This record gives sequence, C-alpha cells and structure tokens, in this order.
Amino acid sequence: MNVVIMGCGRVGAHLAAMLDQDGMKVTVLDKDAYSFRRLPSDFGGTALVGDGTDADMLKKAGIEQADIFIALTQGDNRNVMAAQIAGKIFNVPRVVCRIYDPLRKDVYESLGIEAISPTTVFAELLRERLSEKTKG
Amino acid sequence: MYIIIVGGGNVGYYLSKYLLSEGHEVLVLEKDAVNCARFEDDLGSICVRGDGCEVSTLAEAGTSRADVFIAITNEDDDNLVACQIAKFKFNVPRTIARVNDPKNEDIFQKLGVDSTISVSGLIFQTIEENLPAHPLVHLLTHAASGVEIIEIKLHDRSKAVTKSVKQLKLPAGFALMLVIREGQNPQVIGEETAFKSDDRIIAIAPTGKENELRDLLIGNHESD
Amino acid sequence: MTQQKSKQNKDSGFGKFEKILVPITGLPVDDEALRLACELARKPKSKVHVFHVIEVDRRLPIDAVIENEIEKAERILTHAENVAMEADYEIETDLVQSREAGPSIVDEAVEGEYDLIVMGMIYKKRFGMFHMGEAIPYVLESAPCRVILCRTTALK
Repeated sequence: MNVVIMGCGRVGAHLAAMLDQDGMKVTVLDKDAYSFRRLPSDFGGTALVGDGTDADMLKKAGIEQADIFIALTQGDNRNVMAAQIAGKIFNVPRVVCRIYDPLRKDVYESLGIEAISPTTVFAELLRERLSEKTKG
Repeated sequence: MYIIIVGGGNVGYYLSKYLLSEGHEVLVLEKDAVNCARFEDDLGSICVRGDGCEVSTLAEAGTSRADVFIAITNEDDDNLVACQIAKFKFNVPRTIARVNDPKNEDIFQKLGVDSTISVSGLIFQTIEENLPAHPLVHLLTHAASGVEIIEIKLHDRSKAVTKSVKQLKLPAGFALMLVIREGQNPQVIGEETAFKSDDRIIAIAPTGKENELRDLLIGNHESD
Repeated sequence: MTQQKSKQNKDSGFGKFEKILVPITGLPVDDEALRLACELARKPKSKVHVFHVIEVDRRLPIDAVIENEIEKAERILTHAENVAMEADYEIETDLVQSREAGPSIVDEAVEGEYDLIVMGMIYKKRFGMFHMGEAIPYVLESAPCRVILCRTTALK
C-alpha cells in the first residue's frame, strides 16, 4: 500500500509512523522541513518538503501510484483542495481529509469527499466520557 | 444582478466600485477590519467582515440569491472552497475564481468552478501582445466553444505567402477571418484572398492547436 | 428644560438648533429623546424630523417589501407623532430601508443639513461588557453635526 500524507503535524507524524510500522510505503509532505522532527528516528518512509495543493508537488510525492491520500494540514481549505486534486485529478482510490469546521465538512461530505471533523469527533467523545463518569 | 465578492483587497475594491457604477448590487466579504473600513468609508454599506469560506457567513450574506460569486483572494485554496460552497451549497449560477498559480486554472474548472482568472496568465498575455517579433499572439479565449482567437504575422519566408486560403487547405476547426495590411482597412478573408509578407491574420483555432495553425501558415517554428 | 433655559443655552452656542434629526427604533427611550428634541427645537422655525430605518437582511433585496416590518415601522412613527403632539410639537417622519442604520442616519444628517441628532439608547451589556450596538458608535464617529445621546437607566 502506498500512502501519501500531507501535513506533518502531531497527527500527521503519528499516523505516518503507525502506518510505516504496519508495513505501508509512506510519503509525508510538509511545507516546513522543521515539522519532520516529529517523525520517529526509525521512520522508514519518505519525508518531502513541499506544498500538497501544488499538483506538481503531489506528482513528486508519488500521488500517481498512491492507494491512499490523507490531508492533515492546519488549513481546512488546503486540505479540501489537496484532497480533491488527489481524488478527482489523480484518481487516488481512497482519499481522507481533515476539516475542522463542521459545516464545511458537511458540504464536502455531500460532494462525496471522505472528511473527518476533529471538532465534532472530540466534542462527542468528551460528552460520552462525561456521561460514563456521571453514570459510574 | 446581485454579485458577491470574496476578498476586499485592491482588486476587490476597484472591481466592486466598477460593478456598483454598472448598477449592480454588490457585497464584499473581507476578513480584515482595515480593508473593510475602506469600503465603508468610500462605497457605503457593501462590505461585511467575515470569512467567505464559512457556510454561516455565506448564508447571512444572502448567497442563495446571488447571481454571480467571485473569489479573488491571494490564496487559491480559499478561492476554490468559497466558489465550491457557493455553487454546491447555495446554487449560485455563476462562480468565478482568481487563480494565483496558473496550474490551478484547469484543476479549478474540473472541480466545478465556472470560470477562472489567472493573474500570471493575464500578465503573460499582455507581454506576449507587446512583443513585436512574436509571430503568434493570443487575442481571446472563448472557453465555452473551446476556441482561441489569435493573430499571426507572416514574414517573407512564411508558407502562406502568395498562397490563397483555398490552396492552404486548413483542417476543420481552423478559420482565417481578417487580414490587416499596413495602411489599409482590415479585409475579410475570402476563398481567393492571397497572402503577402507582413500580413497580420486574425484567425480562429481550437484551444491547444494554435501552434498547428502557425506551422501551416508560417512553417515549422524550429526553422524560424 | 424651559424656554428660558434654552435661551441661556443659545448664548453658550447650544440651543440654536433649526433642524433636529431623531432616529428611533421603537424603544420607550425614544420618547424621552423625542421630547428632549422638541424642547430643544425653537418654535415655529425649528424642524424636528423623526427617522426610522428598517435594516434589511442581506438574504433579501434592499427594496424587499417586508410587510410586518413596515407595519411595525408605521406604528413606531405614529407613536412618535403622538408623543410630539403631547409635547405640542408637529414633526415630520421618514421611513427608509437599508442594510445598516448607522450610515443611513449619517447620510440623512448630511443631505438634510441637520444641526443636531438626538438619539435614545438603553443600557445594555453584551458578554459582560457595556455595549452600545452598531449604529450609535457609527453616528458618534461620523455625524456632521452635534449629537446628543439620551441613555436610560438599566432597562429590563
């Protein structure tokens, strides 16, 4: 499995390390080389400095051979744009993207983009936790 | 028409000024308070401070009754998302995005934006038109029909010189419309029109096939 | 304020108002502002003009006919006429539709060459902080003439 991850923040780096451990071929893309410090020293994948909303850069990252593309930068719009370039221009079979804004997530989900909103996921998780505590 | 503009920088300012003078209803969405104040002071209540990519802001702006939606910020990703939300969530019939990276022009159109304006493309074109020795100049792209209107200048060794349109046997999709000669009025090109050195020909070519026409009229451009 | 007092005020440069604009929103405090304006106005020359702005949501065209808003506005203006009559003053009223009240009030003040704006405001807190709304700060900043604000004590 070839995976391209855009954004090497905490989540991006952690996910890259996990998938690398699972034996996938991982390429991580970030605009800032300093972000790669978050990758573990035994990371076996590729780290590439570049902008994932740039189609040429995605090609360099091997998007044409990728089975999975995941957009995890801090910018909702950058994620959405890169995810669409990956899915609709390069026909990557599985594309997942992070969208913090729940309303924006709904719009893109209705357009057929697999999106996760950490905002709603985390709020729901907290609510569940709290209700467990109250019950216990 | 009701026109919403996302991005209240210089381009947004002069664009809205122009559209207002044409009698349109204009609303500008701009994140920066200082930029907003400039609109308020000069053009009245036509600017709302907010993020043009946010669904709630767009709803309050009355995006669902907008006829045209134009995103002209400096960020391509913001322009794409604003136009897509306007188009797919609020059903705006015409969306226009500024494209800062010319590569994105094609991508935006594939992703549903109705038209794109490439700033660097416009600069290239203007420079191209002003280069005197350049044999092929783009005058206009008609995106809907996939056609370019171009100007081609013949020199003394050009293939078309002394030939008529009939003899040139142009493939389908190409057409020669006007010939412009020094000191004369432009003439409509007919079947029998024969070309001379220094003629400037206004022609139509399918988008992407401009060089084919140039090869037919001037010759292989490597030999230039 | 009595006639005499306003004469005194005139001497201090305050009180020679010939055209007074009273923007109203339909709150009880508007009555106080209007009564004050009538007192400051000098009969028979001075004019008091009551002004109400219907702020039209951008979801609607600016010239949309919003019947309940128009009815409400007419009620507010009729009420103002009655208040003025009680103060023995005849006023003019005007109703406009715009996106924001503040700029409309200032535009009217500029075009009509008013020399005073009298506005009522209520004591309000938002997010725990004193809040004047949008229109009043705008008028204070941009009005071409004197502005008098008439603030009530805390209203429920």
